[in-house]
Amino acid sequence: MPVLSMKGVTHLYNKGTPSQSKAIDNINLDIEEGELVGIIGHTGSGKSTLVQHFNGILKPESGKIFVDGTDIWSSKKATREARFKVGLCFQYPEYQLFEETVYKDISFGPKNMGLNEEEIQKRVLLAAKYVGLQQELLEKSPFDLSGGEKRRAAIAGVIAMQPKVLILDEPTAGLDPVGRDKILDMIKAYREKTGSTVLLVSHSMEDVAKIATKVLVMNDAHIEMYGTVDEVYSHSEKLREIGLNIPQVSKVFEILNKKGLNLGSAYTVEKAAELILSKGGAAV
Amino acid sequence: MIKDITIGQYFNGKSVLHRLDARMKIILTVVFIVSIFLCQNFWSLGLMVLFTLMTVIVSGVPFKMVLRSIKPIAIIVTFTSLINIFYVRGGTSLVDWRFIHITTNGVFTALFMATRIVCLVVISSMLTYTTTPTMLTDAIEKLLSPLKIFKIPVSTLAMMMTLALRFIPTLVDEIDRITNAQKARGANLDDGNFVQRIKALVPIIVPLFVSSIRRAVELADAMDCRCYTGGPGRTRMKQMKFHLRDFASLFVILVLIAGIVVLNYYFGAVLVK
Amino acid sequence: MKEKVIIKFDNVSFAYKADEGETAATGVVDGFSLDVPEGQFLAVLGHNGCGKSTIAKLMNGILVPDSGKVTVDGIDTSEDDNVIDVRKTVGMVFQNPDNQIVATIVEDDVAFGPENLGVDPKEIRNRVDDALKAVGMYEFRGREPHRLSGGQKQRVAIAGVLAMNTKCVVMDEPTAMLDPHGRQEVMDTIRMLNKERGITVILITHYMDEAVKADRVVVMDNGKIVLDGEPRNVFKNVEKLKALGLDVPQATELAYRLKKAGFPIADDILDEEECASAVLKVLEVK
Repeated sequence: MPVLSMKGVTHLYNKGTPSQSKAIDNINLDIEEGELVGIIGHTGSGKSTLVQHFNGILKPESGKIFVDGTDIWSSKKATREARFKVGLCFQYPEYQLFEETVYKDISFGPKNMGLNEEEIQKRVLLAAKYVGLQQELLEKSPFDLSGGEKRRAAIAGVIAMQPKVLILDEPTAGLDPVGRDKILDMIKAYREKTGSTVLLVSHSMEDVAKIATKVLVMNDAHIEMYGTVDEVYSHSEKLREIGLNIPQVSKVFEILNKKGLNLGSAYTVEKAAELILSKGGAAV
Repeated sequence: MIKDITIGQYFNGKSVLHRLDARMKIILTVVFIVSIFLCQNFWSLGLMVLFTLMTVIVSGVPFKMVLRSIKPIAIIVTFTSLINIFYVRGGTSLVDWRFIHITTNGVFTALFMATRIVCLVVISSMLTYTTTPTMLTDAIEKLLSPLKIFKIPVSTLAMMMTLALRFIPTLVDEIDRITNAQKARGANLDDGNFVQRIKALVPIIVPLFVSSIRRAVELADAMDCRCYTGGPGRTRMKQMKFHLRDFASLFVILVLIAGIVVLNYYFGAVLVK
Repeated sequence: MKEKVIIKFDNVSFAYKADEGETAATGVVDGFSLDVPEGQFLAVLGHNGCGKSTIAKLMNGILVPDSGKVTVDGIDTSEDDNVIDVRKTVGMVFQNPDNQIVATIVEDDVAFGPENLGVDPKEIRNRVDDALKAVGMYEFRGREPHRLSGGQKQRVAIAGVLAMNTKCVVMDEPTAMLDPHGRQEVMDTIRMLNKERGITVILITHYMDEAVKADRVVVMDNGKIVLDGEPRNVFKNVEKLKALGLDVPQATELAYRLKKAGFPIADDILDEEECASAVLKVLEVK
């Protein structure tokens, strides 16, 4: 049974006004447990709208959404359960920090779940460990942290709810390369340790290539492609056509293949070097 | 999406009313509101209603939108009308049954009051329908500029007003985002008693304050960089100039007042002392 | 003829005081010297907290040095009386597009700078129209800024600086909050400013693909310059850049890896075209 599932989901922007339009249109989608799905697409393609349906922040115009096999709009209880089963971390999550200490802020979610003090403490400490926040930072004010630390504290606030599915909307936006790599490594390690399903919305095809197991491409309110990284990234022309910025090494390979080199496709530097060397190595 | 909110209720159009100088529109609105209270009989009242209708037609703003601006005051109008009908005495008695006494003066006062309030609201909303908040701010700044001799910082106040208008949509958007983020962490904003609900707002208000302060600091730097000093010597790209149509509109409203006065004189007051 | 220097840092040091928001250790500048010739497109790279944003703020007098001197077109930025002249010479574009637009209508925002300088209304109109056309936002002149995309807002902010007729524009991570499309829009606009209008551009960034387009790249660490030169020569130092917490363009990194594995390829590769043709050259010779 897929952990997340959508059946014919449509969502409208500006409902009832002349500018009404479909943000996502008749989406059918199954996501299996344990996957790390990268969701890419240009701004306005519907990728953020799509993920906000899984925890019931947005209500669809039509269609059904299932989390763990339960229709999340079938009862009030089911909707509330979806909130905690699917942890959604929005863009620039550091702007949601509000408590006096980092510890209290991370415990906001677990507290809302009605857990006892002991369980909350366990979860906060574990979440802080996952995102790599040192224990001594937990007693500080979240507003005294550095930019990257704030981001990680905010993500910990979602992880502490121990959701079955973790969704991160552009978790690396605005960070420098060091901050970005820390977050990506953290997501990868978190999934490996917990076995949770992770959805990663991103503009960066490089980031997605580094950690995802599957890729979902949104275009114009539809799912354009959904498959393994290899399957999706091999369609570089199609991806370019819908306005996506393919990794630079993929561009290099596009040119080489056009010249008749038949190297296949590569989207990470490691893979590219390997392919060229096997070709060149034979020649040398 | 919430991003598409419009501040004020500007209706984009190209009518004469849209093109009138905003300062003149403010003056005309004030003059009209005064003239509303000059009417003493149904003839002059009718003239005023006619003028209001003409204004709406000329503006090109759909009647539906105009009706929407009246909606919020409908209850007040009905309520005051009823009070007037039952409590105002004088003139011919219409109903005199047990404790219910209705007189012509009561009915007339109610009609007058209702018509006046509706016209007042319609005309004021015509001002905001045909003038952008920016133009209104500029006009208010100009009209208040004589106050500068009393050391009132009119241009600084106008700048603050402009910045407020500029940032309202940004902040509304931000509230929306923070609310969603806290909801995703299980914040319950819809249930509970009054105190619980107020407490539930803390996770939204604190981040909103923090980010507003950050915005203010960055904005101050940006304004400094563009040489804003708040002092004198500032010029404006858009110069306000009165055109022929502005004087013509002033003439029209003077004719309206003259009409009201003449009709009042010929037909006398409708209310009996 | 020697090129005219427009911005000069002479042994500048600066540290934030405890009450100025930043934690004391970050953003420090230490014995920093730099000459920026007129008309240059300079990219300043470095990880967060290396002092690059401090450099930006020192360039137009938002901050003044604790010691040393910053001069802009020959004017000392630390004199209070010079501040308007400094800002007439060096314009700034910031990271967050929302927090630098002051007016409720696009064209009014572009007019804000010249209005503050007391420019004649007719002249302001000309400058505003010209600036908006230059950044490709003329059709949007009557729009409300909050309805524009991030890239469009940044272009409006750039137009606002253009309308002040500054000789220099300093941009502090102007694309950090934008999507790839918006970044492209802004980069195209920056190149236009530099190439067509001859404006000196100082671009502070951590995106390497942006720095590649510059005439010169300066890499900072701990408030000091660690690398300085043409992009080609700077990006060659793949190991060093990575150690400083920076990326290198994928094409450069690919060439570097190949070379390390004994593949005889040039090491000053900047973009995908160069990389592909270098690879082809090696494979075809064999």
